[in-house]
Amino acid sequence: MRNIIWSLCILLLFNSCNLFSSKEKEPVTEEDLLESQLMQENAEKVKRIFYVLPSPIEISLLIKKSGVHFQEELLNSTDNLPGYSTSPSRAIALGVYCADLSYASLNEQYQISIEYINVSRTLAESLGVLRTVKQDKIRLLENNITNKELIIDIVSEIYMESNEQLREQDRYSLAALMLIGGWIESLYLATQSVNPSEKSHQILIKQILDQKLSLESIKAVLRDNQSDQIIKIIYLDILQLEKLFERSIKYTDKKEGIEFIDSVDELVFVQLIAKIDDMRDYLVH
Amino acid sequence: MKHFLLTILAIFFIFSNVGFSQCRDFAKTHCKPKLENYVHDGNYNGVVLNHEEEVELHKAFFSGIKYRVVVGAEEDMPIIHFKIIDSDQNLIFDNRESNYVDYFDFELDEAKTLIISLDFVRDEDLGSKLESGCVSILFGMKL
Repeated sequence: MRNIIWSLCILLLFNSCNLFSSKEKEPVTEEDLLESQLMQENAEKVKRIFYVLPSPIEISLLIKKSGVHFQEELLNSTDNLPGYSTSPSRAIALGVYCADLSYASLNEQYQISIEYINVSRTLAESLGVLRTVKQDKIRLLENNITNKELIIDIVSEIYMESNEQLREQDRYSLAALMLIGGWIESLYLATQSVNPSEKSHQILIKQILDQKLSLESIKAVLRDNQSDQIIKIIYLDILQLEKLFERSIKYTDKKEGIEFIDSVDELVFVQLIAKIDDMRDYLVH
Repeated sequence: MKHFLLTILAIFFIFSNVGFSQCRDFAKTHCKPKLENYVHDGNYNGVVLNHEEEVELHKAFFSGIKYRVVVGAEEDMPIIHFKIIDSDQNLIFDNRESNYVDYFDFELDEAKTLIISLDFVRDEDLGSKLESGCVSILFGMKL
């Protein structure tokens, strides 16, 4: 029995090494070469497909570039933090606060950004995500609190470390909830900043409707974690949202002399804004 | 015996996570600096790529933003071949035609889903020692 356990342990250790270290090539014989050539000719490469969501930084940049003003009242208040007592609610809130942080920092709201950096780091730690940002970077920020690039860099590190560490800990549904929280909050910030009938807002309206393209990635992330009850609910909401995205555009063909805003079905677009508001409300509370 | 097995499992867990975080650290230290004056979007796309594999990343890109894609591989690995196509299979970029450069800058007129596919350049073309290792794809944006 002892021998079997020893053998298993040694195998396990060897296996763990092989999984993550690169293999040294063995000497190649003519036979190997021929076999390799045949395989190249006959076999297709194994394809792995990954779907990437737009990050909160990306959507906040689109909002900023559209020229609409920053609205502090849209942010999820840091007073809500103590209410996030379960891991799923914390993961969602982390994504939400990362989106708020991206929005605030890109709009040069430095004090708010510092506050939201602290909140995000606290939330990440409460989820077992450690060392999201190196201490020397935080010290650098303390001496350069108006350095926008540095703040954005810190946001990207918190977002990346949190998501990846959760995945590495096999907490895939929490990682997915964090991503969805960030995406919905970003869309909420965008849709609450827009006036559907205002022509000067048509760039932002277009940017919002272009998010339809992200649904493929959103659905792929959610589909993989459908055993989670919260994700199941969000997935159904996403399917409804997808229909509203599709119906928001009356015609896709570009017609001469017609501006983009004229191709938008305002009534459906308002429903889409309301749907995102509902989804955000569900996630935040 | 129970303690012994727990120790072994703990070692296995640590080994696994060291492997993952090594790839992430590699992305941070070797690939992120190549974004230069583009800010990292916060997405980490890292895989352990094997010689017989091809990896595809599907991502929506939006008009009005200048993007940079950086593809990095560990030292002593074969050169990475990457290409970018749109959802209608139109070729946007192929680094084979640019001396296997490891980044591409672009801006789109219209939002599109792009597919970034990568694989290793075959050994017989360009000799190398390793058959698999960390590969990272990072996206940057100009503020």
